[in-house]
Amino acid sequence: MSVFSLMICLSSFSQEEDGKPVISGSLSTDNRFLFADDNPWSWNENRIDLKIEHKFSTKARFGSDIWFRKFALYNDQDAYYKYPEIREAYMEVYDFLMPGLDLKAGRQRIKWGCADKINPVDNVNSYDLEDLWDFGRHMGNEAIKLKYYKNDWQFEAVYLPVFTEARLPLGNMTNALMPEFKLPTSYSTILPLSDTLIIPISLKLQFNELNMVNVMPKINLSEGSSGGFRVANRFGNFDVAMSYLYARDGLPVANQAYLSLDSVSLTSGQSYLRSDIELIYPRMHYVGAEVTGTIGSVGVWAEAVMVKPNKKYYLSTELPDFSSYLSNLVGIPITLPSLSYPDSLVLDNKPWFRYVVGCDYTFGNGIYMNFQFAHGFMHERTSDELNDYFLLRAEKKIMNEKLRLSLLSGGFAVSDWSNISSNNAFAWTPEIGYKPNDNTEIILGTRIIDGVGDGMFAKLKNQDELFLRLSYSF
Amino acid sequence: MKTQKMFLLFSAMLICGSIFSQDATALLKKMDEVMYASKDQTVKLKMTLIDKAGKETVREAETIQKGNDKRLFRFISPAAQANIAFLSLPGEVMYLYLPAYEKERRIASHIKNQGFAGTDFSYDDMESKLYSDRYDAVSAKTEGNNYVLELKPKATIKTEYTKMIVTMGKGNNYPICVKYYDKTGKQIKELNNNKIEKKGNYWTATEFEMKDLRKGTKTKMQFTSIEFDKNISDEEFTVRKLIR
Repeated sequence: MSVFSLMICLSSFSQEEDGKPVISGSLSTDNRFLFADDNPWSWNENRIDLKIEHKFSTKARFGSDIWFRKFALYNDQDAYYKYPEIREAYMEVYDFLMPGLDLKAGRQRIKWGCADKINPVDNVNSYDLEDLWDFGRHMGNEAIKLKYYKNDWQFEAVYLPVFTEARLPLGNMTNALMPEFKLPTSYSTILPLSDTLIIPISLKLQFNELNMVNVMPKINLSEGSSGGFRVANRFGNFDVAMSYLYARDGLPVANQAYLSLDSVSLTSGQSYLRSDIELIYPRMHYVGAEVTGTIGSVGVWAEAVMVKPNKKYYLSTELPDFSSYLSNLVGIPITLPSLSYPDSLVLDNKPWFRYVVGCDYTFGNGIYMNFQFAHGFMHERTSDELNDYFLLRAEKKIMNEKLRLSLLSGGFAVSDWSNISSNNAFAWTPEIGYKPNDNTEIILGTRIIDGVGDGMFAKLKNQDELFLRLSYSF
Repeated sequence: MKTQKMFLLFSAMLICGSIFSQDATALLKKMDEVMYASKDQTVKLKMTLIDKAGKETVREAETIQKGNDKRLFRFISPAAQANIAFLSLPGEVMYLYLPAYEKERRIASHIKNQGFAGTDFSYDDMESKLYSDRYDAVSAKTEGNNYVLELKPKATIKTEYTKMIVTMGKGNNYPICVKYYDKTGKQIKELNNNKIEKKGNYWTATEFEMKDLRKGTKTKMQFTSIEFDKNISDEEFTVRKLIR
């Protein structure tokens, strides 16, 4: 699609006065060391971010963003290269068909939302959760965007023909977003075996191996595509927007579990299961609202989304064939009563609300403060699972803005207000940035995390680290 | 008899003061008329940031302005600043576009007194606004070939400046120097229009310098090109154009 749109647009504007292609970007290295024994590297990423832009008169523009990376991660023995990744490659045509209407086609990032990096309404592109500390990063997706401007009104329609799943966390953050997979309670109960057995025993079931298999939606209009629209305007001191999106969630749910017996000990009754779990990507309705503006001298914003799955999603379980396994094991035919496990609800179709409210202010002495309260993070689903996050950043620039001090920075999370002492976590993430010249920045910082419970921060509590980032823009 | 004389003298002082205040207001309006005489202007400029030790950093930018309440400013270089853009609209509405975030951001008034992208100009200074809309001229006097006006912000205006002393040329009514004072009465900044030229029909400062007396830094601006009255459309002063 990108190539197609590029060809059409290039041919349309080739006769007009063109600008020269502009190449810009950055070189960066991001190094993180755990405070654990021996201070192992938890992250080493070296990246060239190359942006190429070409304006065709004032009527059209080609833009692209390509990453070249070399990576080394926690527990990985060898560094490895990531192939060049085309994050964006699109064509923009201004005043397309009519004045005020802009078309953007190709792989692109479509940003919705007004909050600071944590944007509940920003669901058009799939999440890129590879680096959990890079809040708000999304993938670029193949999309067509039409945006119409009329006075202060903005009308935007988006269509994504192909679904792309979210990129999951890497390195030592792999499990931070993953719910602990538990054996359904009735699996783990002792199954009474048939009295056809000579020795009456019972089996205790335990997972030995879990395999996840992604089942991607078909690449067709009805299953693979998504679309939505957004309307925005300015009312006095406030910019207001409403949006609707019908799309698949980039994070999957379990749809089908195929259990098979790996081994059974007749003496202890312990049996080990292998489970192949089929994952699918649920469709959701997202209804969003955003408002940003000023109250007095304070910058304020609020952003909320109602998420409603298009249906109830169940996990079906196919149990192992105990009869044939045990028959083979003991060498005599054994017939057990047919066992079945009822489907379990993994995602209800009741709506839930995620939201962020925030404010920022710069004091007379130049200290900038930014506070946000978020109810629900991007991976949290259903009302019962939404945690609360309080995020604060205080920053002061000195030495002609060459040195940036951000010492009071971090967050506090509560996953269960009725039992806070067992369900809370904090992250303190101070950093110092230094710009020896306009194009270079060196950032030194640390992340100190502690907590209890099963919230995202709490799962990272043993991952305290020191980080050093250098970047050069060209 | 003595009381009558005192009364007459006091009345004369009041009347003269009132006339003088009116003159000051008229002078300020004249200055605005000269500064915003063109329908629009398109400028390319070089910006030199000079730190306390005298070390220079150069940036390039372009700006378009229409009337007295619309301005779009965009950095061209260096790479880390390129495409950072700032839009000033009527009603104290300001937007900032940071390419790293790929979206515009409405600026709240708390940031208006902060330096704009590392320069000695604040967001407030970058706004395109008539002086007479924001300040009252409370006094005026003559000093050689110049008028010197004292300005105070109107009650409705939020600014860190509590007083400004403007020196303007008698010949062209263009400001030569502006001194900015904080609430303690201390001078904190100074703008010097070092090169004032008549380009076509319009007087304009093609080289000027803002000094921050607190930090000991200064920012020089030199116009590398300027064009007037190109009939720039209102469409150019929109969020749509800001993010391009």
